[in-house]
Amino acid sequence: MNGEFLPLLLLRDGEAFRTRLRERRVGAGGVAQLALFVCLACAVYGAALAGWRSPRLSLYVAAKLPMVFLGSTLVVAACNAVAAALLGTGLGLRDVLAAVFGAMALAGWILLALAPVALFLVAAACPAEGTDEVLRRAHNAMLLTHIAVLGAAGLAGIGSLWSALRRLVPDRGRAAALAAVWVGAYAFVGTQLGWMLRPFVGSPFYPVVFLREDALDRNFYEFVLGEVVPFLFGFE
Amino acid sequence: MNDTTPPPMPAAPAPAPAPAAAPAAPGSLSELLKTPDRYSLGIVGGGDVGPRVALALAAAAAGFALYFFAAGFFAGWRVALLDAAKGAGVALFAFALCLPSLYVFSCVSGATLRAGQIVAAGAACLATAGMLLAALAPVLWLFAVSSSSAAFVTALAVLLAVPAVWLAVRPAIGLQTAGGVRSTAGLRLWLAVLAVVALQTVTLLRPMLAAPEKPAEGEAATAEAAAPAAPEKMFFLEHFVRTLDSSPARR
Repeated sequence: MNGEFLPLLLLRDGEAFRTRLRERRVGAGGVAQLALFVCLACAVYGAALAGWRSPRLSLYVAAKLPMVFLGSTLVVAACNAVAAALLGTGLGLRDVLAAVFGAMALAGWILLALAPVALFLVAAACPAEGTDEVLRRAHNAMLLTHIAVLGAAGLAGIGSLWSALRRLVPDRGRAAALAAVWVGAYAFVGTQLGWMLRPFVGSPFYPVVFLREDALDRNFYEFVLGEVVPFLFGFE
Repeated sequence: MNDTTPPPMPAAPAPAPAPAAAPAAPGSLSELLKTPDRYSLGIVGGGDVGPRVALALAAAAAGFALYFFAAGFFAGWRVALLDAAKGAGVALFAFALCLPSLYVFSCVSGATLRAGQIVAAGAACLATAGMLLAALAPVLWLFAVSSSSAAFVTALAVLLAVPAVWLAVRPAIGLQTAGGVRSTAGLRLWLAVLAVVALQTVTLLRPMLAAPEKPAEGEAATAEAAAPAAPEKMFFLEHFVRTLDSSPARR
């Protein structure tokens, strides 16, 4: 490790980081550094994310956003490692975690970079009180803003993951298949974990809580299939 | 050839070479505007970037101030003076708030530069936008003093600012040519974020095309009533749409 802070190396010299990945020189300590950095970045952005609603929700989300990112990675880690083995890539669990946390650390940098902007928008554009219509508009605007920021961070992470896999897996087709499996699994699990741990932005029409009472009542996909799809297509 | 062939004309004297234009001084605003590639090469070349940053930020603040000054004439010269100060503040505040994203986005785009050089590159982009806005200020002024609709002046101000922001990427392209970054995508994205922050700051500092509302005489008894009311918080897009919808006439 040479005492180097891996997330900083990843930001300043992505090529050097990927070379280390390819040469299997990212040890458990390096993976831990990346994971801790992801937690820190998510906590900072999480605090900004919910800042418009109340300081308490800000604190809750600072704890919950890292749980979503870290939890999703850990839940799918075994699945990712098995997929890597099935595709004959020769990647072990540590390689998988190093590649995935590397991608997430890059996304974390994007979140950290945009946290001041998000805080400014919260402070300048979101009224904490007003008529229902004003609050609804503010909530929706914040929701869209954070979706855009998190989406940009996610895309940067996927780009970084793809670059890493291209170094780790010589065969382009296998690298693409592995990336698809990893991103798909992560999105599938991450969506559900996020659904369970809501609220994040914090609707002004619900009380501030750490978890909703119905957090475990049904999953996100049941909600989509049971309510969103019938609403959109007029099913009874 | 036969005997009727006229003798060849004597060769005309070669035209005197046109005097070469004096190259812009390294790190100057003229260089930034005329040859952004060379300006960016100077950033990548190393050395002290402090004077470049200071000059670029001063130019950006002055350019934004002039643009807002021109727009403010819609409501008279007092508002114009106030808007000039707001304009400079918008540029500098947005730049300061977007410094972290400038650094991170540049690094993600493969920047091989020191933090100071990255700041100099960002300041160069902002200065380019500022100079272009300053160049467009007379056009905006002409419409500001001769229009009756705030919606029209607002729309024009935003419309004229689009090419300024669009062309502000020129130093970033120069930086890529000079080998300072692998791609300009990060700096382009940063400029978009900067534009959003600047627009939101303008919304925060409104009104821009009217004098700040004063309390009614009867309300000035308390200190709270004497202070100007803080504007309602809202996103810049919503404010823009409201401005276009309401279209108040000149005051």
